[in-house]
Amino acid sequence: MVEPLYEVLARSAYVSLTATLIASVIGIGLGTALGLARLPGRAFLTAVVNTGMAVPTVVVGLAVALLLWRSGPLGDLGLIYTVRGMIVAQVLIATPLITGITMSALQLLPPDLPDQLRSLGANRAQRVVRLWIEARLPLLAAAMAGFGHAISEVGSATIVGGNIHGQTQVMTTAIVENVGRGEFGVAIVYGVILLGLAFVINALLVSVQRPGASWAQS
Amino acid sequence: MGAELSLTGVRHVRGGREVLGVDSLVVGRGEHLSVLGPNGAGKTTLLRLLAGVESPHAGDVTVDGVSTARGGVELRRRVAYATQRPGLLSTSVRRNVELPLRWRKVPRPLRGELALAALERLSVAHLADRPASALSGGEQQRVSLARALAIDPAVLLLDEPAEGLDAQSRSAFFADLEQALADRATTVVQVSHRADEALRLADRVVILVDGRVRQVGSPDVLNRFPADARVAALVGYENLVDAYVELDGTVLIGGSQTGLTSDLSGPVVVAAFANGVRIVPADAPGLPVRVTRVTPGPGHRAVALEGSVSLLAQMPIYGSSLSVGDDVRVGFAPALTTVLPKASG
Amino acid sequence: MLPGLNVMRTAISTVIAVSLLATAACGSEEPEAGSGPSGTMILATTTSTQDSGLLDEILPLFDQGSDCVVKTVAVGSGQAMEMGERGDADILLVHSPEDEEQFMADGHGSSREAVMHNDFVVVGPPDDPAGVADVGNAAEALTRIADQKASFASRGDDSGTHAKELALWDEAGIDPKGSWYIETGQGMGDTLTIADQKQAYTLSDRGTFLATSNLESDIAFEGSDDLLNQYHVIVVDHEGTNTGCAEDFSSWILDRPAQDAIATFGVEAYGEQLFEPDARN
Repeated sequence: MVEPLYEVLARSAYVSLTATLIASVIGIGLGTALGLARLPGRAFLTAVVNTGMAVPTVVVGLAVALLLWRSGPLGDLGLIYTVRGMIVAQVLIATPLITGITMSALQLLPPDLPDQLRSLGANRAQRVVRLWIEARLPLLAAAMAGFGHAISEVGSATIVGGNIHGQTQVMTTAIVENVGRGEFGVAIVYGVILLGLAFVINALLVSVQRPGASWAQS
Repeated sequence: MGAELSLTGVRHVRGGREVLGVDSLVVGRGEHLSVLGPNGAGKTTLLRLLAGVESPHAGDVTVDGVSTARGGVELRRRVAYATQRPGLLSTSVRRNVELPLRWRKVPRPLRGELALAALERLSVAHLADRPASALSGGEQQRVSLARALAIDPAVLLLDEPAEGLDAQSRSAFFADLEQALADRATTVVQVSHRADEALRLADRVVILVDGRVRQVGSPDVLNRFPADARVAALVGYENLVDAYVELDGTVLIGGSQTGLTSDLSGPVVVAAFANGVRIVPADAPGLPVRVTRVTPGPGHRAVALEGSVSLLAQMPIYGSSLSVGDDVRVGFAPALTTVLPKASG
Repeated sequence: MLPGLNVMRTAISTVIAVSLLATAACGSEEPEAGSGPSGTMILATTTSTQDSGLLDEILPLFDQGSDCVVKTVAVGSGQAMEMGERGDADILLVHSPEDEEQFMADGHGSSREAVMHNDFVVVGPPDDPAGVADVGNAAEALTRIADQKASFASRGDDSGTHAKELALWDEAGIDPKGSWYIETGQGMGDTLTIADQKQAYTLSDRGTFLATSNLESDIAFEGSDDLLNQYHVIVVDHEGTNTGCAEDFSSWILDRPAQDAIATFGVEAYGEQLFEPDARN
């Protein structure tokens, strides 16, 4: 069965949004710890995060597939060629990016802000929450960037998902398949949708970064 | 109820340099202490140590006997610290003031009341629902102070609270501050590099230079009896000139009689406020000088005089009219002049 | 209130709304409870059965009558058999007879049955620059192409089609090398598109050629005996595979309804039968 377009679209959105949600929780948490705390081995972890951002997504897909194949160590989980397996791969792809942007965002806050919050009587948890609120725009940008990265990815979606009609086909793998079949029209439609999505995300990002929104001019 | 603060044997180091050294300083309950000193004197460091935001390299800082190093969050919640830059958060003015109250677990309805009351005391209640970032510098400073006062702190630490405000706003600001503190027993430590602000509300003033305490005393004492030339300059004496005390106690500047006497002997420094430099009648002892510049000011004229030394005098507009190039003789009003030993620092 | 908070709230609501919509639209991957074999079954097959559209047409018939969830992975016969060896696939539908025989001899499969057959065709530019139209068999056609050094696109991927191509070169006694011989390493549809764009010849199964759109290439040579394309279904013998579903699928594809569906596939769309079923007796 050739899937109707809205199903493929919905699946792409579901996979990438879920992955972005999970990656944001992990990434913002990790980015906060690395950006604020004085952990031992912080320099090392930062290097790991930077490397993570540079890894080609198809390599992530390969690594995940090696783990999830029946013949691999996690084969019993039955995650290969499933949507959940794809989500795992996309989480691994988006998390380093979100972590890196979170770290930068927190380091761009006024440096005496954490101390000031302390002196205002905030305990550690209250301070972290307040810093997140102060940095909410860059953090939102981080999540959006992670989403954009995940939904436009094709290498790991192919290897881990298998582009199975009705089960794991997403927009990017559908483009590749349709080009292979010579169905350029269908491929272009998916391509336009992805472009439109990228545009909307960026427009949102720009609108959210209005100049007057910064408080740090005091 | 204000807390008692103390620093004992405190040494603080930053970047390998000792930035603060205070052997002993006690601030009594409800006392308003001003810390006056030039930039880089260590004033902000002192406040940060009292706020518990930093711990001293050596020595002890206590609030009501509890060391800040060990006091933790509970202790910090009794101390309100208004930093030099208002540091308001990106939310409404009202929420900015309510947040510290929320952190201290003040119940919601009470929070709103206390916040609004604090904003009213600082005359900014009408801005309650504006975003804090939309306020002018002066308004932000008031909100920052309201935020500090809203929690009814035992200790209020103010770092250059009127920094960046124009003259009229400063005056209004301190008037409001005085009124806001009037019915409270809060212990206040206020840092300033301007003498008029430091002396205005203080019970006592601490002169801090290069991280060390030069003098502690009431505003009157500091005015009349600055310990040395450096302190005199900080307190606002515009004229500091070398002089000599004769065996008979008369003070000479550049060989001329000044009309002053002193118990000191030998080389000294004469500290004189600009409004203490007077034109003397022909038969009185005085310093021959020539007028080099006359600058009008609010209600007075600033007159630059050159002779064996340079002097700055502040003369009322009505009275003798001086022009550039006039040769006159000047003396010093004893109440506005003091003779200091010629110290080595 | 907070300037960015409204945007955040809208974003989060959108996320939740889309997720709910998507879960509804996706359909569950879990099979319903019932009697008979169930669970996930990985069918490793050739790109030709996928790209021709055959599987899209007949698999729903299997899904209707079974609780098994079929995951079709189109990888090429060689890779399909490797997956079978590792136990990463439960059942194979492939068309590489020599390799299949080796696979069975090595004990990796528990059954192997002929499902359907069609033929390969030599596809090339419409003006047939190498002049292969009037040769006697496929090996001769390839010889002409090699002599003229006309561009030829090879699958180069261990697939059944690739195996057939290599067998033909072997028979012609030619070792294809040179800039005219392009190895794409990709599936049939992709290779046809590449050949078309580069005005090259290639070997393709009839079904995929007919199903691929936007090609200017034409069939340059067809019909000889050495272009037979035979498909078999193999149940994988390996620990941990879903043998129940695999045997179910094997019986089903050899049974009447599936075989009839195979016979009628393509007639309406392309005006000719694309696959000849083998198990109708």
